[in-house]
Amino acid sequence: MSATASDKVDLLRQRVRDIVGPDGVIDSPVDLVVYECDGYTLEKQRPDLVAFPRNTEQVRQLILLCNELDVPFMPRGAGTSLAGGTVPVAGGLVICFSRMNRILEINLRDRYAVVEPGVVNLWITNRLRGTGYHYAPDPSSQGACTIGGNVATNSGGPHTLKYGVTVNHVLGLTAVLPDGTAITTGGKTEDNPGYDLTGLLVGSEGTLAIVTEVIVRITRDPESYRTLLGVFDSIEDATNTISDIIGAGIVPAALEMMDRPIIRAVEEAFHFGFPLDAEAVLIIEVDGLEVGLDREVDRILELCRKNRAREVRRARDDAERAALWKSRKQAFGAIGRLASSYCTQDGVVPRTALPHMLRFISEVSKRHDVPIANVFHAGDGNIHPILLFDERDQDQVQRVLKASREILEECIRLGGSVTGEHGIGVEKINFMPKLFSPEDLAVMVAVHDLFNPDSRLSPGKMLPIGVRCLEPTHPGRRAPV
Amino acid sequence: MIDEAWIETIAAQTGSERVEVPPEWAELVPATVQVVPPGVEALQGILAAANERRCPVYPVGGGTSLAWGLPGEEPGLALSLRGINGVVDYPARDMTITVRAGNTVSEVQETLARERQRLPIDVPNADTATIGGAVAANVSGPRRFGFGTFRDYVIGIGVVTADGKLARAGGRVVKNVAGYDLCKLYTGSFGSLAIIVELTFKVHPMPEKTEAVLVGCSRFEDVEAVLAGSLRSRTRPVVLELLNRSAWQELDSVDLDRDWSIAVVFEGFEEAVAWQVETFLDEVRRWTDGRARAEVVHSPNAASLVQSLASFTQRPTPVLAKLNYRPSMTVGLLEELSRLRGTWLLSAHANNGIAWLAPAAERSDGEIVDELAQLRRWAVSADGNLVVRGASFCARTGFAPWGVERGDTWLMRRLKQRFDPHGILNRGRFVDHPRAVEPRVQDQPEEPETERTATSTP
Repeated sequence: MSATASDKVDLLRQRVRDIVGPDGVIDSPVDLVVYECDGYTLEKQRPDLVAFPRNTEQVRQLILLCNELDVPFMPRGAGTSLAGGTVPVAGGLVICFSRMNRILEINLRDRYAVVEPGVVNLWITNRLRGTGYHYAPDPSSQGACTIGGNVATNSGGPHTLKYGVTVNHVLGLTAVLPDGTAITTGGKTEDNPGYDLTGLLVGSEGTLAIVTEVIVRITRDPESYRTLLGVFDSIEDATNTISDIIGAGIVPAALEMMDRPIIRAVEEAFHFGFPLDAEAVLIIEVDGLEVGLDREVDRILELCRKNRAREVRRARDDAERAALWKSRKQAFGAIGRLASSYCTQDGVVPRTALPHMLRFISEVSKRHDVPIANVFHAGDGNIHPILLFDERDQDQVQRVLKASREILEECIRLGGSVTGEHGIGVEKINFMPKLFSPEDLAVMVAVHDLFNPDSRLSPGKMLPIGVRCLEPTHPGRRAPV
Repeated sequence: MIDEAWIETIAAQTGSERVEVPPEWAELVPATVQVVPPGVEALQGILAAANERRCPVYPVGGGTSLAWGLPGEEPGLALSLRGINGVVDYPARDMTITVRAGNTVSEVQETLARERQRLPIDVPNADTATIGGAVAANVSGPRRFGFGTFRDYVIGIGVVTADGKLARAGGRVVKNVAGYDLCKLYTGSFGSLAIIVELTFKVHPMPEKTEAVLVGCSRFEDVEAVLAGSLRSRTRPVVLELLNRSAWQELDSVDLDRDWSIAVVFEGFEEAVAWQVETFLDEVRRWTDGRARAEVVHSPNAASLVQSLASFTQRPTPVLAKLNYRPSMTVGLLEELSRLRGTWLLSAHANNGIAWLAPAAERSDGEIVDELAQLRRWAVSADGNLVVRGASFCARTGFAPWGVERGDTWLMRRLKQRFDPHGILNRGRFVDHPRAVEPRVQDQPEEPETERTATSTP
């Protein structure tokens, strides 16, 4: 159901068409269904209208129009958010960036690329192939997710362990503020004077401004890789290995864990050759110069053996490495084989606390009789427990809910966070007061209100503003407004 | 004049020590008394009282970055964080550390070194500079080419706001996207938004080895060949520092008979460093047809070399300019310098596009200002800017320290106003001061008409 009165929607439709042209608008109820949620399907709200601008000026015009008509608006990339980041909770206009998808400039000597927000993450690396450069942040959804969305959520990915997350690779932005003023922050150069507004806008989940152009840093390709698959007979041994590797001062390019349920689902989907009887596998990748790399591998092998790894396989060639990473990055796609519904959590704990955390998750799973699968960025301490259930069974739903909450609260208790890379979105707003004090939140609200005083841009996201903090009734569901 | 009796009362109420401001800071900070709160609560009390009274507060850290910005006009109290120190938590196996802001950078690095870890950020005068001050001033050095800046290492922060509230952002885990990333905002804010009291960093393992190659060039084309070549090199240098002859002479006192020196540093596994040094020597020969001369600096001298390079920014000079520009234009900068009448010492993080310049000899303010203005125009044309460290110089000459106004300067001013409505934190020193930023030629959309009055300094 739309939240905006129908005569206003008619006017909005007409005026939006004037700005972006008749082919730049979606308004039929059937087509709008696509835009009612993202990768987090438990919360849905259909927008009144979706517009597809082609440039910053059109975005500006759309925003001015929304202000004039007092209609809420929000940006959308590819809709791969797992936290409901793109759900238009108040209806209104969704500004979708799929037509602003050009790579505008690539400069190898100065190591940057200028891209529009609708550019798919992987396109940059694909375009750079053969130049010796790539774009480092590699979310698992990188074949679909857009740079605009990456900027909004400060996306990570397996290789951010060594190379850093999105914010470490963004030099500058062009953005339109909620009042329609276009600004530029940062630039093609480092250390532009004044406050780091670029750093502030990255990860602000579309609640401060709408980004229309992004200047990203590009990164040199490593000379060599070694990709290992460690096979373990217990989760404990696998998590201890993770902890030992980090504790030994080794910074792998990536360090990922999958447990038995995931291994099975992934194996059925991709036939990589994972051992189905293993309790856990670690994907460990080191990269860098060829010289010295094998010594690093040897140290890792030693730590794996110390922790009773059953075997450690090495990717023989690029093709095998690619197949392994495909299995990992598309693991979420394989989960449908395990249950009809699932809820992916995104907690972070100190890396030494991983063994404890995984034990805790397993206890929670038993206590609430909820199957939980784990596939996650172990090296960062970023867990992704996947709670499996049947959405139609209210009892299961309630148990999933409790289990999720207990897991995230344990993350907080251990000094961690409730989101490492998916964002707060609508899903985790209620956790903000648990993670931050009223004073902490007051500063964030002050920043929000400076940029977005009427909350017309992306209302009901990230900060518990104007949302009564009720406990959710559905997994991850936003508290009723 | 500042009310000394009031400061005494506030200090007594919060149990804070009072210390005289060293005479060498007199021209940099309009304060005669430093208050040293013994803890965060005391600091909160001081700020709440100062905010109530609209009394400016000038955080001083270790005093190593005080010459940045304008000197400030209104007398207030200097705030030392030295009483708020110590390690809060150092889970070495998590490779993170949480420290209070008043530790010196050396203290932090020594703690890390005991676990063979480090923060790979070069802070000159590390024995004096506080870690909070270094983050507030966003200090960086030659290693930024390989390792980035504080922005890439601060994962959690605790600050006391202008009205005395303790507020945190980020956390203690290496990956965390909950809430706005205010760590970024405070890093490089020069204490103008809030006072940093606690920092959590992610840290790196100490490298096994550090070695360097010194390349000497006498032609522009060779300089560019080495700089551009190093981006395609099979090696991965962590430092590429370009010095002109005058700067090198200061550093080494040996005239190397070459116009430009490029210090290239490799760190990591022992065998990988050795291989890189050999490979790079070969590559340099190829890139420059054997013209460039290259020699190896072995450890431990290589590490000392990096330290000397980093200390360039701390040399006593009335004014030190920092240019940012597109790295491909480094040779353009050298050409621009050769067109100036005066001689400048140049030390550049060349492939980051950051150059530091100091006048080589004593010259009149007027001449220096003219040349800085010319360099500033050049930097802006290279998509960058020029800022200067030299508070007294700026006060005297009217030269704007924080560069030419940019498309977001007006927003920064509003942000400052929101964080610090009474303008007590480093009043008149950072970009909020109208004379701190040079107005730009009107070519971009203006700040919205209606809001302009709101942005003037309080």
